[in-house]
Amino acid sequence: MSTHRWSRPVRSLGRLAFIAVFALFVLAPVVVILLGSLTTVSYISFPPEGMTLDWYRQVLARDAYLRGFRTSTTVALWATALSMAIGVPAAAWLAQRRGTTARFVGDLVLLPLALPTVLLGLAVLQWVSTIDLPRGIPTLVAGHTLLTTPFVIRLVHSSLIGIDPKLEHAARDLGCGPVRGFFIITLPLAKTGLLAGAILAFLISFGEVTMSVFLTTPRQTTLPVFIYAQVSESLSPSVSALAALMVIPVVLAVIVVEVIAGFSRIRLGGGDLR
Amino acid sequence: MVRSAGTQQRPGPPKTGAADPRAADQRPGRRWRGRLPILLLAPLALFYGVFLFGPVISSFLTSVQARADGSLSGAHYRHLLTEPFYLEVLWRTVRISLIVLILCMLIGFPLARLLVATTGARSRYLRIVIILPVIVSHAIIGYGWMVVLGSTGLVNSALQGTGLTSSPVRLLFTEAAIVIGCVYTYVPFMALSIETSLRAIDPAILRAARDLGAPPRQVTRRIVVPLSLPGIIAGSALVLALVMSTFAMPAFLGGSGNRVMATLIHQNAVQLNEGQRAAALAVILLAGTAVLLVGYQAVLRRVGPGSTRGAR
Repeated sequence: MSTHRWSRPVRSLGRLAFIAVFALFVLAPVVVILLGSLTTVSYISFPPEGMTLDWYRQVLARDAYLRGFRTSTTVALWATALSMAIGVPAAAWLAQRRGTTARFVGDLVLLPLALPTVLLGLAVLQWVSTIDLPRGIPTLVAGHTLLTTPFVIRLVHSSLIGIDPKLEHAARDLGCGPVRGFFIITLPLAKTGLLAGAILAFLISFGEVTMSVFLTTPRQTTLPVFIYAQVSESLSPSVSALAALMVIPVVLAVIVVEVIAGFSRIRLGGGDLR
Repeated sequence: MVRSAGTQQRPGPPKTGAADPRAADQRPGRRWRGRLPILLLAPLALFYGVFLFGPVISSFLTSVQARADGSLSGAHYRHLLTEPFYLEVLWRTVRISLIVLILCMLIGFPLARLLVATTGARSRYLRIVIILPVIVSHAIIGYGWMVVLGSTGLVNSALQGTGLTSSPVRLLFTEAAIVIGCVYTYVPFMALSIETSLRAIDPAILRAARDLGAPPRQVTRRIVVPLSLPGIIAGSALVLALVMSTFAMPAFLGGSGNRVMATLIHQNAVQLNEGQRAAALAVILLAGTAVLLVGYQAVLRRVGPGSTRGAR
């Protein structure tokens, strides 16, 4: 890239150093969680002193942890299902149009992401007593769906507009009706977007903390909020074990989804939902 | 060859208006691809109506209620905008946001250039590393940084192990810790936003500059930076908005001595049972963020064109 021959290796070395430092930066908290969860002493320290899986055993046995896991999973599954049910039709509609209405709707879809999440959390908390929605899991599902729907719509929409229109025209020419065509031709072709949307929605909901701290109840807490509570009270390496159990699947999921769908390419700026 | 009348409706070249033998088929109802029913938006409209507009509007209204009898009153706002404690929290939030923004720009720009420059497997690894802080739960990030910055954590162990310090350095529960956590969480947004702009730069322009003898540094300063300004501005707006309302990093890394707007709102709503005050704080946060964004864009518009003055 440079006109000076001798600076090329220097450039690559500089680049490599930068990437290495940045990678260390990104991996630092993850690594300390993983390694710190193996420590034999009862306080959080790094490097860990000794190696034991006791903390993991504790996590998998204690009631509070299991309840947290159950709540988080339930909420995430419901939020994913709900945002797909809301988002897929909306994305299909948006993929059809380019006018000002479509642009407006496209921007409106992103509104939950444009507002501060604390505002949403507070608002939903204060609202559910008005509409008589029980606190805990139902409220959490509602709140999380607000946050996951925009992503689902974006990802599914991207997938839909990438479909070659000739395929749908061929189906129509062969006599296939619109609704049937959508289900047997369009949706299967949008598989990547649908899968990525569902996985992302699940991950977002499972790890959500800002809105959830407003909406949990003592009986029904999600894992991230549970970690926050533990941090304020009794800190022990079992929290590290819990965090490790949470982060490993997420990292794996990131690798998998990035490889199949490349969702780091989602552009959150306006102008794409057209 | 069979041509379907639906061809005109897909995203593609605009209608030219030239004579189309199938024009008679353009009547609505004849094409199945043209207009999917607006009914498809019904679930979205219903859900947003009930769970987005309802709650937010209701909270606005809550914030202008007097505590005693619920009548219309700006008392909460008056209190929050005059008491030094609250102004201090607001200022701290803004301060942290601006510092994080600058750091994100300094780190995000080289990252974006790397994203554009690398290819193949290395590009994939880089992308995964960059997207990681976005996907991992903020609670885990917050907790992880507590272990890194704590008195028995990674940094202090390293400092003491290499003999650089003899007793633990106080890193956790400081504003710096919040800044570090926020940069970690939000620099990917900046990097990916700038990357989009960088990819839009015509490589012919860069080649031309090089052929005319411009050294790499000048090419960057005079061409790459100005042309990637849209991405920088978009990324900045995103990062500013996100940091202003961030909860997890200050909650885990700041402690009770370093409250920001988000943690203060949470404290008022959940611990102090001050729903109206919390709502007013949230509105102030929203307004403050808007003001900051508008101000920032105004500043950039004044600075932006100036840096291309020499390039023409």
